[in-house]
Amino acid sequence: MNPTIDLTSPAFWLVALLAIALVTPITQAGLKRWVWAGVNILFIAWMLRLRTLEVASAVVVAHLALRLLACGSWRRAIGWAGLALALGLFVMRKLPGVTEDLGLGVVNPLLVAVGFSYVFLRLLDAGRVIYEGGRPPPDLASTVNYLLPFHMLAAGPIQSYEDFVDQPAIAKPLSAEGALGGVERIALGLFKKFVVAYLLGEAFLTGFHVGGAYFWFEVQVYYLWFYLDFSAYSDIAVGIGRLMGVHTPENFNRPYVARNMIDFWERWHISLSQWVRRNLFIPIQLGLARKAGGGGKRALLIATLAFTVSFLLCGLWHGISWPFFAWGAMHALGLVVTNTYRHWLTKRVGRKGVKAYKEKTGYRLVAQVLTFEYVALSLVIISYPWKDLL
Amino acid sequence: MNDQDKHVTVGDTQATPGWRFGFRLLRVAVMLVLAFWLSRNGDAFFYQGF
Repeated sequence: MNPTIDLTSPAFWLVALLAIALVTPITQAGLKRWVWAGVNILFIAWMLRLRTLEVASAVVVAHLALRLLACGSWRRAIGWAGLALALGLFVMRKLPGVTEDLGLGVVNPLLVAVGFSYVFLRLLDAGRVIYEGGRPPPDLASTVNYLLPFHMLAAGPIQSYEDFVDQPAIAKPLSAEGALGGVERIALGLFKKFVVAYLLGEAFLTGFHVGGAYFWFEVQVYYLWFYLDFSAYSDIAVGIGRLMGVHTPENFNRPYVARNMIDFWERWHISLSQWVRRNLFIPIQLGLARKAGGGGKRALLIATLAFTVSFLLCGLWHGISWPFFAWGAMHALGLVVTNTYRHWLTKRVGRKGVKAYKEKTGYRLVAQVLTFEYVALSLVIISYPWKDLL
Repeated sequence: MNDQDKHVTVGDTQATPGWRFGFRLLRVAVMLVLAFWLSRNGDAFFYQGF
């Protein structure tokens, strides 16, 4: 069994070609949903073989749970039970030792194979929106397509449930321009990953095994390499989505020019930061504001708490370990400092003054360099060979 | 419309002269050939580990 989705394998590209050939020409919404679901299941079956039945059963359970969240007096209990179950599976995904101890060793490879870290976030997003009555629950085909889109399985983007429901059932017919645009994005992704990032890694990266001045040089290169590697996957997903007429959200917008940490999270892994905002930051902020009431200083304190809790959890989502916890704490600190400084500056010089201040070239450059370095150092925390120090 | 939305629609609405279209195709071909060639040495995507 192949535990992860390997983009160098012919299976991924054969399924992608099949999806483009089958899904793109369909002009009937219901048929498109089912054919698209069939392709997604086929991809899972290709990877998991006989274990496909377990995954299909889990999707049916998720589908029924999402439908029950929309109606009935038990929906609150179902919501909590579903959250507990999803959290349990998430822990099993992140801590393989737990599944081994429980005698459920087969579960972890299945969760890894379907990219459960991302399925978990999509499931929670859909659950919250349906529970709040924001959108109707999906039919079975749409449940498959939302939770297990083959081109977004391994590394996102994390499409919001609202975005998924609101996308046109049938996209505009694919023009030659549109097709070329999609192929260009895929080629760009492959080029970034397998040419630029690969050569950069081969030439300069040592896994932080060299000290002194080279360490600081490697910190800079590592950030660039990380960006190229990660954004490449999003490029490929967006390109495939465009060719299939399946909306696939953008995930990056030149993060290396960010001026502060709030700006950074509006440019880096955008779909994750929007998920955090919708499902953690805003509910925490609103919950605290309801209890404590509004007010200038209190609002700032509430935002500080919401940033801290949201990004500590975001860190733990990446990995249940101390380095990821520290990474989350560092980003939370960056966001809190940015927000507090912005608040203080606005109070001091007013909105117009802040705008004029931000337009100064010197300020912009210093802010960009500081943000770049802060992010680069945060990546070292999660990638440094700490075990070698022990 | 924000920058992201603009990015999504680029290429869908603008007509491109034939020579430019051909150049873009050629650029795609070069990127794919190089990526395919070097991918034999590469590994799976780093970020998938999360």
